[in-house]
Order: sequence, then C-alpha cells, then structure tokens
Amino acid sequence: MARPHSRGVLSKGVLTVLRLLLLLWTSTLARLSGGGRRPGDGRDRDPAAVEYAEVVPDPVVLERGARTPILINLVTSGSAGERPRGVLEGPDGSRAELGFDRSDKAPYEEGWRAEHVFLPGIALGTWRAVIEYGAAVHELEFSVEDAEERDPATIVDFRVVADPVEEDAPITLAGFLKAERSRLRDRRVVLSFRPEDALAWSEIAEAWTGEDGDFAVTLDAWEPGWWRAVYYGTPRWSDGGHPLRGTRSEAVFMAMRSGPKTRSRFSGYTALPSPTSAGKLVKHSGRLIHETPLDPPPGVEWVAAASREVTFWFRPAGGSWSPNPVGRATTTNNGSFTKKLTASRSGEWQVRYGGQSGDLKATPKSRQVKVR
Amino acid sequence: MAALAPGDPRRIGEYWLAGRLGEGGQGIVYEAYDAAGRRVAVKVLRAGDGVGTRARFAKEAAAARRVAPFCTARVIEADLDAPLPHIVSEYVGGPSLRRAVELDGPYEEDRLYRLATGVATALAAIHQASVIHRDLKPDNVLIGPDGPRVIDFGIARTREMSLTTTGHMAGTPAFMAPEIVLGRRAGPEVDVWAWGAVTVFAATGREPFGGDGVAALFHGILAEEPDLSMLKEPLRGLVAAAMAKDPRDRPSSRRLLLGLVGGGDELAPLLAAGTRTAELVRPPAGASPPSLATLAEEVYAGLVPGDRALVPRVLLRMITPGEGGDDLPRRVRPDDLLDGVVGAETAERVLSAFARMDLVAREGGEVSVANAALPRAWPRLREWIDAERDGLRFHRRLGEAAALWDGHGRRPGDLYQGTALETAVAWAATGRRHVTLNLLESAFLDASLALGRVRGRRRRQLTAALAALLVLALASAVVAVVQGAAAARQRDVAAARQTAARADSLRSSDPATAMLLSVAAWRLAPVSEARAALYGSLAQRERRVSAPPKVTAEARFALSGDGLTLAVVDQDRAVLWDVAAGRERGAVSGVGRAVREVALSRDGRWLAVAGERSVRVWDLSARRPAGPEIAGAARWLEFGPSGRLLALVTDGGRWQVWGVAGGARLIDRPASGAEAVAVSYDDRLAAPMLDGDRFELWDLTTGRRLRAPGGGRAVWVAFDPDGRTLAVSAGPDVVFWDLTGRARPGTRLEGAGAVWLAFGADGRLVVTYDKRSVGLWTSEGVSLLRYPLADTTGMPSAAIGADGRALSYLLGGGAVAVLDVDAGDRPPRLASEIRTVAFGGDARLAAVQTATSLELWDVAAGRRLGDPLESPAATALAFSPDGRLLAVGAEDPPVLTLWDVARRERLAALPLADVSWVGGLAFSPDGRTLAVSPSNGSFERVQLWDVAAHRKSAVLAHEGGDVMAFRPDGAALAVGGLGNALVALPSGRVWDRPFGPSDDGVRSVAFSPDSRTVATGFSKLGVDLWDASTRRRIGRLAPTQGRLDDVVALAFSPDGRLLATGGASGDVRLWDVAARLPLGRPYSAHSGQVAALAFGPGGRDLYSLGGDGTLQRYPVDPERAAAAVCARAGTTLSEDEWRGLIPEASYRKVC
Repeated sequence: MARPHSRGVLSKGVLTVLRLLLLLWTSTLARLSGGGRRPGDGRDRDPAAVEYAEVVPDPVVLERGARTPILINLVTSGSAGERPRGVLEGPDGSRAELGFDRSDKAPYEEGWRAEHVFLPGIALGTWRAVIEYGAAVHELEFSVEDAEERDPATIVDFRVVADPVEEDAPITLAGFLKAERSRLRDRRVVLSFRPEDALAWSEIAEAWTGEDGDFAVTLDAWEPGWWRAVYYGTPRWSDGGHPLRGTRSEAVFMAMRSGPKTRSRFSGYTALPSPTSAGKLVKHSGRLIHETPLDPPPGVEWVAAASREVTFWFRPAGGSWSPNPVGRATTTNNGSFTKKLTASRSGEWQVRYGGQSGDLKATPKSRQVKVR
Repeated sequence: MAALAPGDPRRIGEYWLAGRLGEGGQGIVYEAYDAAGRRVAVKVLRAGDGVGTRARFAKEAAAARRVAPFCTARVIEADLDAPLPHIVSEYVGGPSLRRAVELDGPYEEDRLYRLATGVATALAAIHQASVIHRDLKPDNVLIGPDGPRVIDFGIARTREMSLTTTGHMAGTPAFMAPEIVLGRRAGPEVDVWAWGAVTVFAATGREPFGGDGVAALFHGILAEEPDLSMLKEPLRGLVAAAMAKDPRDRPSSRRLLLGLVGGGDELAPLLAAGTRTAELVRPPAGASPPSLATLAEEVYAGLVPGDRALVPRVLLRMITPGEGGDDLPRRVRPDDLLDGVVGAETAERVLSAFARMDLVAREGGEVSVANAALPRAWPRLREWIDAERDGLRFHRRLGEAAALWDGHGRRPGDLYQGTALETAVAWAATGRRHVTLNLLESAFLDASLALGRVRGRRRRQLTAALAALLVLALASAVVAVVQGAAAARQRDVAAARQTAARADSLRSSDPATAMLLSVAAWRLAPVSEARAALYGSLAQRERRVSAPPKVTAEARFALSGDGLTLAVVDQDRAVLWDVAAGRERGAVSGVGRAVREVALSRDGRWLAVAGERSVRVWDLSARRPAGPEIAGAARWLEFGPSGRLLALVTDGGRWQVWGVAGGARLIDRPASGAEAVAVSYDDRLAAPMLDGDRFELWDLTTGRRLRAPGGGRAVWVAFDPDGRTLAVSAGPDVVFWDLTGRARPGTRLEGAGAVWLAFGADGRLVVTYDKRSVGLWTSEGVSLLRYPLADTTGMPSAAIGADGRALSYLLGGGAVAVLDVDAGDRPPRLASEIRTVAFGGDARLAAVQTATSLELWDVAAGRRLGDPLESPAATALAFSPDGRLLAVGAEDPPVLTLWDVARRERLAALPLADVSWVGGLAFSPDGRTLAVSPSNGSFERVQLWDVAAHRKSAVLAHEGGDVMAFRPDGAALAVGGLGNALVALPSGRVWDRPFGPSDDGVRSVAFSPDSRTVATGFSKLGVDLWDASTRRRIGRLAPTQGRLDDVVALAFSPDGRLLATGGASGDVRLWDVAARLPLGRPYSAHSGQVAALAFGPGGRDLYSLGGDGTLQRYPVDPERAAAAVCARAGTTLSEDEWRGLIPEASYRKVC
C-alpha cells in the first residue's frame, strides 16, 4: 500500500530538493580557486561535447493534479558557437522544446539549465531529453511516475575519510542506502566525483550494499573535489513488489593536501560517430595534459603529457563497467591520443589515465555512443 | 673566504691559492684558480698526518670520483703522492646549508621539500656508487646555484667521532645515527638517518636533538623521538621513517627518493626527477662569496672611465710575468707608477679602490697585488698580461736598468746602447698596449738615445727613426702608437666579450644602452658572447628605463594614466617629471613632508597628497591647493578616470569619494576591509574592493548599493571607458560584465590571473598584472603579451600609451620602465589552430594541417600558396629534402599520399593495411625512402617505403613515433618517445633506448649536419648531445639560469654551430653547440607548444610555427640581428658615449 502523504508535503519536498541542488550547483564558483590555470593552448579548440546531464529531481514524481517543475542541468565543454538545444520526448510521443540558459562556468566547462513544468495529466513512464550541442548528441532518460509507483529511497550519512587527504592516499567513501520496506542488501551504488574546478560528475567506482544498506569503497585520491553516491533504483514491478526509486546522496567536498605529484586531466574527449551501426569502429580521441611542476613560465601551467598510456572502458546501457580496459592508447608528443574501437552495443565509454611518472590520476571522461 | 694564513702555500701544482674556504679534521680547503682562471676548491691533507690518514684521503678521492657528479663537487684532480697531498674539486658557488639557514632562516614548504629531495637524490646517487657518506650534516651540504650538493664524503672522520682514541667528542655528533653512537657497523642507513636530521635542521634551524652536553644528546639520539610537528606530509612520514632507531626500519635512499618524487622504481628516472626538483633550490642572495674576479670587476666597474683606462698601467707594473703563465706579484713603490699620465692622485685612487677589497696590499711604503691568484682569477687582468707578456719582460729589464742607472748617480756607462737600446726603443714605441714608461724609465731611454746619437754614427739613421717614434709615443701619452695586428685583434675580442657582458647586465636597468652595447660588441669582434648579446637584445622587451630626478628615501611616486608623466613628491615639493625627456615639467612647493601616498590624475592636472593626518589635492596647473583639506589619514588613494573625483581608503576603515574641484564628499561608507576603490569614467559608479576577494558596487548619484555582478567576488575590478562594462578578476580569469540591463558575463581574459588590471584610455586594451608578469590584452580577450618583470617593486602601476605601442611601469625608486608591446609587425597567423605541420626546402615552404584543411604556405612571405590541397586530414607531414615532394599521412582513411608540391598534384595514394593512422613521417636524406610510423592507438613498428616505387620496402624491428629523424648520411634513423631507439640502416640493427631513460621520453630529436651528433630534447631536462657513432652522451644544454622547458622541437643550423630549441611553453631559444651555452634569452614566441622549427636558407633566419597558428621569424645572421636591434633602438652610440662605456677599445660605428 502506498504511503499516505499530502500534496503540500510533496511539492515542498520537491522544492527543497531543487533548492538544495541549485545551491550546490551555484556554490561551485565559490569553490573555484585562483590556482588552477588552464593550458595556453587547446582549450578553445576542444570539440563541442556534452560532459554531463541530469534531471532534477530524478525520478520525477508527480502529484496528482499539480504542476511539477523540473530542471535539466547540463554541462558542456568546447564551444559549439551556440546554445545547446534540447527536446523532451514522452512515452506517448509528446514533445517539448527545452530552452537552455547559461548558469555556470568553470575553466573547461559551461553549465546550462533548462526549466520545464510537467502539467497534470502528462504521460507517465520513461521520458527522454535529447540534447544537441554542436555535433554532440546526448540522451538522458528519466522516469516520470506517481508517488505510489516506487518506494522512495535515500542515501544517508555519506562521508569521505580522510578529509583532508594526502595526495594519492587512500580514501574511503561510505554511507547507507535507506528505504522503508525493502531488502537493502546487494544494491549497486555508484560513486561519482566532480573536481573542484569542474561542473560535470564522473562515475568513478561502484559499491554493493551490505545487509543494512551500508556501502563502502576505498580508492586513491587524486585531486580535491566533490563526491556523491548515486543509487539508480529498481524497475517498476520488480523487487518483490517494492521497487525503489533512484536517489543521490548529498555531495561531500573532499579537500586534498597538494604534494609533489602533478595533476593531470583530459582536455577534449570525443567518441564518434554516434549513433553508429553495430560492428563499426568508433574513434576515441582527445588530449591529456598535466601541470608543469615547480616553476612554470607565466600562462603555461598545463602542458601536453606525452608518452602516457590511457585506457578505454565500456559500460553498456543499464550495465556495469567492463572489468578490464577494452583498449589502450599512448599519447603523442602533443598529448593527444586516438584509438578506434568496435561498437557493439549502446552505452557509455570512458577514457582513464592512472598516473605515470609523477602524474596523479586524471578524472575520467565519459561519452555516450548509441548503436542502432 | 678567509685570507691565506702565514705558512699557507701560494701554489699547489697548477693551482694558485686565493684564500681559505674551511678547515676540518683532516685538512684545509682552499679556494684556488687554475691556469684558465677556473675557480676550484683544493683540499690539502694536514702536514704530518700518517699513512692511515693518507689512505683515507685516497679513499675519499676514489669515492668522490665514483659518485655521479651532479650531486657533489666533481673531483678534478687528486695527487696523494705529492709533497702536499691534495684533492682538487669543482668550486660550488654557494653557502653550506648551515650558513644558508643562518642567513635566510629555516626552509619552508616547497623550498624545504626541494632541498630534502635534492639531498635524497644525492644520497641515492652516492649509495648507488656503493659509497657511504657517514658524515652527512648541514655543513656538508652546499647550496649551489643549481641545487644542493653533498660534499666531503667518504671520510670516516675518525678523529672527531671515535670515542676510543681521545675519549671526548671533538666535533658535533648531532647528526649521528643511533648505531654509530652505539659503536655498531655504519651502513648506508646512517646516511638516511642523517638525511632526516638534516631535513629537520633545515626546517627549524636547530639540530633534532639537543640538551646540555653529549650525554643528553646521546640520550636523545638513542631514546627520544624527534619533534617533526613542523613538517608536512609527505616529508613528515619520510623523515620519521628515516629517523627510525633501528636501522632496519629505515627506508633506503632510493625508497626515500621514490616517496619524494614518485614514479617507478627505476633509479635513473628517479635521479633525473630528483635533480629536476632540486635544481630550483637556490642559495640565499649574496650568500655565495664572490670570486676574486667578481671583486676585481666590481672595483674596476666602480672607477670613473678615466681611471678605469689607467688600471692596466698600474696593475701590470705590479706583476712579474713568469714562464707559461706563472705570473707573480711584484712589490713596487707608488712613485714607480707615475708615468706622466698616471699622476699621484690617480694612482692613489686606483690603489685605494683595489686595496679596499683586499686586492692590493700596502706594506712598508710599497704596494703589491695582494693575492697571487688574482692574475689567474681575473680574466681582464689575465688578458692584459697575456697581451703583453713578452713586453712585460722587456719592461722589467728596462725598469731594472733604469733603477740601476738612477741608483748609481745616472752615469752614462749604465745607459742602454747598441742592440739593447734599439730593442728597447722599438718596443717602447710600437709594442706596448697598456704598459707605460714611468718618468724614470722615460728619462733613462731619453738619456740612452742622446748618448747613442753621439756615439753611434753607424746606427744614426735607424736610431733617429726610433727616437722619433719614441718621442711621439711619450709625448702623446697614448697607450700605444702602433699596435701589432694580433694584439689589436686580441684586444678587440676581449673588449667584445666585456661589452657583451655589460649589455646583458644592463638589460633591465638601462635597456636602451644594452641594445646598443650588444651591437657594439658585435662590431668589435664576432665572438659568440656578442652574438648571444644581440639575440638577447632581440628578445628583450624593455625599450628604456627613465631615471627619476634625485630624491630622498622619503619620496613617493605616481605615474600618470598614459605613462608619460611621473609625479614625485619629496621634501615638501612635488615635481612633475616628463618621463621620456627626463626633465622637470613643473613643480609645486609646500605639499608637505612625511607623505604616505600620492596620486596623479590621468591628465596630470591634479595631484593628491596623503600626509600623516590629512589629504590635500593640488591643482598643478595653478600651483595651488584645490578645495579644502580632507581630514584623516588615507592609506590608499586614486583619482577617478575622469579626474573629477578622488577615491580614498582611510586608516579608520572607511572608503570615500570626493569631488576634486569643490571638495564635496560624495560618499563615505564604513568597510573595515576596504583596500581600493574603482570609479567609473562617468563618475556614476564606484566599486570598493574589500579583503577576502570581495567587492561592492555603489551608485554615487543615489548613494545606493547595487547588485554586484559575479556574486561580488573579485581580486580587482576596473571600469571600461564606455561605462557599460566592469572587468572583474576572480579566480584564473578576468570576466567582463555588462552593467546595462541584465548583468551578463561577456568577454573573458582567460588565464589572466590578475591581481590588478586597468583599461587603456580608449578601452581597446587592458593591462593585467599577476604578481610576476604584466599582460596586455585586447578588449575582445585576445592575449597580446605576457612578460615577466625583472623588478616588481613599483607594481602595480602599469600604463599603456595612447598608441598602444608602449607599456610603462614604475620600478623601485621612481624609475619608469617602458616595454615595447608592439615591436615590429605582428607575426602572421596561419590558422587559429594547427594540428600538424612540416617545414620544407630550407623553410621556404610549410605544409599546415589546420582544423579544416591542408594548406601550403610561403614561409618568407607569410602567405598561403593557392587553395588547400584536396587531401583527407593529415596526421603527419614531411617534405622531401629537396622540397619537391610532400608526404601526407592521414587517418580517415589510413592512407599515405605523395604530392608534387610545385604542381600541387597527387602522385600516389597508398592505403596502409591494419593501422588506424599515420603518426610520424620522415624522409631519408636522399629522398628515396620514407619512414612511416603507423599507429593503432600506440605506435606500431616503423615501415620504410620506397618513394619512387610506391611500395613498402622494409619493416624495422622497433616501434616508431611522431619524433623521428634520419642521420644526414642516411646510415641511421633515430626514433623518439619513451622507447627511443637508434636503428642502423640498411642493416636494421636496433639500439634500444640509447638516449637514456626519462619520465616523458625523448620529445624531439635532430642530427647535426655532419652526422656526428644527435641532439635529443626532454621534458625539463634540457637537451642532451650524443655522439651519433658511439652513442655516448657528450654534453647537455641547459639554461644557466631560469627554468627548463619541455623541449619539443629541435633544429640544427646548416653549419651545425647553432641549435634551436622549441618548448612546450612556446619559447624558442638558440644555443652555441660547441660552448654548450644559450645564445641570448629565450624568445617568448608562441602562446602554445612550438610545433616546428627550421632554419631558412643559409641559416640566416630561424622560423618557428606554434600550435597557436603563429609563424615567427628570428634573424640569426648577426648582421641582420644587429640591424634589427638598431632599428628598435632607433639611435646609435656617439663617440663620447662609446668612450664612457667601452674605454678599452677604439670607437666603431654602431648603428
């Protein structure tokens, strides 16, 4: 039986979540430090790409008879010379244009926001936001449902230890998945990271919950930034009649003491073409840069990281990351890499760099590739 | 340096001792100079020490020789069988760590980390050589100019440390490891302990364990934990581990280094990384004792030009030339120095100047060169002596003969006659340069000639001619009448070198003169130093430095908005100073004393003077105060850009804006953290800047606070002259906010990092300052310049001239420096982005793959040749050596195409099987073979293609790379990257990694035109030069000062003498290959990585292409460089100026 609740409580809840997320979103700039300078070259020439998109709230839970506002937050990199364009597509074929306004700016990225209001009576089910930015197309699927459809879940007590952490030292991310009526064991929780001076979230690791919904994962820190845990929920009508909604934890900031190693990052990663046909090659290319140590010349804090090995990973839509890299490439003298890999299924590709010769790891970059 | 003590030897072997550097248990260390004037350290074993000591001494020499030289003082020579056994080692110009800490205080943060890394690197290298230092302590760590060096190792120091022989401690055992205290075996772990202790000392200035007496100290070492609270991770953990009581618990020096610099476990890259980190440890300023040469040169430079010219006459008289350069000091009476030109007063001035620096000694009415090493150590003196070595011997004999003649009552029988007279007169008339005849010697020769005229009819004519010459020489009192051609050449070379050095020393203080001196040096002699100075002038942005009027230390300065006028307030008087003309433009008296701050309006009409208790505005045109006095002390003040308002921040923590003329207060707000206030051009808005990187926006017309754009966060803000835009510097960028209507961010100055910024008067240009460099930007956000400033004491104060060609800023003491910001034409920009590029045919052509097309360019003209080639996007390009063919490697599809460049015709399209793309291409010198590096994400094995037959002829047994070069004789192919290789051709034999291990691999490679040398560029390790046959490293090019760039492009000049390097930072620099020295300063050429470098026809020009799409040309031919420098200088050196600046050489036309 669905838990009784009042309209007022729900809309207030949605607004609170929206407000919180907005606050988090806009607090990014406050966290930007003056120290992180960008490379003197390459930054304006990165191809236009969608780095990250999310709908807030996710899932969208409608209240009967009420207007439900949602936000689509988008992070792009490179320049397309124009605003992103987006369309919402409902399960019933209904469509609505999304108007994006620039909401934020980070050294490599731009944040955009589109507002939409779901009116009473719209179709329930899986909605898609199809977002185009330059040549890049990004699809974001999300569920629009009523309150009774799935049980709410929350992630509580999410924390990162140690904080602050030493460079390249282990950190543990831990928390609890909570839900009223469901068994909480063996649920997959994804840990995402957002560097201090970036807007996009990247999936870094996953953890499986224990008996009490507890989860913990230990990995090595590489740069300061925000962590959060995401639970994607279970499909309707699954889970013994008590499916769970997805949920995101609060973002927790992790400070890091800088040490002797140099930070590294990807600048401009593309996996094209998308969409493509099964069995065709998809070209993964981009550039790896790192900070120059100690006393860089003015304006040249980041330079090409040459002769570095980068690896490629794949996660089919709805699945998990490949246990091993599906490809490797070595960066050239100007830090660029190119690798052609066969696409067999739709999903997300990720390029990773584990750090080499005094470099810290780079925050991985992901791109969707759709296979027709 | 302490002076030599009585009983100290003056010379050991080939080394002349100059003073004592230190004294230890085992011997005395002297500063000394070799025959070439090189400064060395000579350690001499104490006399009377026995065989055992001598054996240890031998051990030290052997150990020091085994250890890699970069981390210690290199042993040059050791002679243990000599009467005075000694070790000669490199002189490390820097204080010991102990002295550095005394001078400069403890090390902190990065400096400490770098120091610890440097010492750990040295230890790792020492242990690698199977040597245990056993006496590492702050006194044995020298802070050299290129990082810390560990010295004095291998000595057991038994006398100091043994408890058994003497029963007490002679030295300080504070750095002993517990096992030594316990008398156990001392393995390499004792050095690791000592590293920890030395690091604690560096961080605190104290030894890690103290207490009263040795017992307390030993208790500490054995039982107490050192206090490491002042250390941060990772140092703290490493030091704690290093100082573990049980030696088995301590990490090895290699593990230490690994913990410090990270990376893999291989030692060579670890050492390279450690050295790289430690190279930035610098000795405290002034800590290194100056060499004799420096002291002597300072004295010389401090003399007025007239006296300077006479120094050789004075000093040469005090030297007895020896055989083979063993010149000895000679005592002379001051009277002996007088020659008619050098008078008693002059002689006294010169002698006193040198005596003040202990370079000349006076004893019993006589003077002498105080230090026997001076002729070796001071190049200038050595050159004077060398130029006149034979003449000096003549002169000594002449002087002795004259003294004898005079001493014996000037009897005719003691005069010169015959051959002796002829030789002496010929020398006196024609062979001298600096040596002059003193009054006695002149009289002696005169008398000899007079006697000769009477006696020698046979020789009359000859003697008469000589006499005429002598008369001329003596009467004109010039240095010499006729000079030998060789001597003149030698003199010019010496003068050219000195002039070049002077040019470089004047770069920031007198840039205009520096430019002219560099040309003058080249005009004197075409030596490498002169060439370097010319290139230095081309790279120099400073146009001139205008000195202010003479002021006291109380003076305050303000520069006008256009940089043309300087206001100087000093001693109750305000002077308006015309910066360009260097003269007063007006003055006002009665402005007050004890002035704290001054401000000058943009138009130079109003001057605001903040005193101890009030602020007063002066109308400089009317020379009287404007408006009433503003009560209260201001700690900052500045006029609004209109000149109608004055903004100030009071001591009481308020910010105010006042009307200048009427003295009305427009606004007065409390804000405890106010630091400065920006006022808009239309006087409508004010933006106080507060601490904590905040600012506010106020409407001055209503007195209301407005919403500040960007959340009110800024380090600095400035209003645009159009009144619509506020430039806000927050974080790495400056963002322009549109203040009209809905505030929106617009243009960004990306990466400006500005702590201060200002608009030019017309709003087209923006000047930024980031604490190190000044930046110039267009208001569209295009970066025009970023230039590091040598002197930032007067910053922020930069002003851009109305024409946008000059940028002025204040130096300390009120001098104003002017930078050329638009020197010459802007470089052509071939594209907004370059993916790959190749120069061809002596840099006549460039093939450029832009983001969209493949284009051919005429390099000299900077113009595109026709439409783009119809080719798939190139991933690699190469021209054949004759420039006729272009090879294009592509990706989609992976194909190799060959083009006839002249006809723009595709000759072949060769598909490449099983590869994704072509990553690298290189033509063989005969143009018949093309090396192709295919890639599938990582490089595959190199393929050789037959160019004529259009087929693959071989696959080499090594992976390729995007960095490849054929040896000019075609006998080898060098491949860069992490797995670098040298492949012999045609045999295909591979030498794997001949160019050593390094973090990032070989980033660039080039062969010298004679095929003998291969140069490899690295990340932050400079350039290595290798013998192309033996593959041995024969040299390294690294800047003598400043940072090391990632060397990503290399090119030898056609004659092989010069090497050009291009860096990841966009810098381009030239090197003298033989001397292994940089030629001039680097050119800040591109805003991104250098993509390609090539010398033009005949090596007269160097071209570089940057990833930013710009093409730069540098005149390499010195005549062209000189012409370019002259054009920039816009003037020349007059004869008078020449005499003042270059007294040692006769005038040449400069520009």
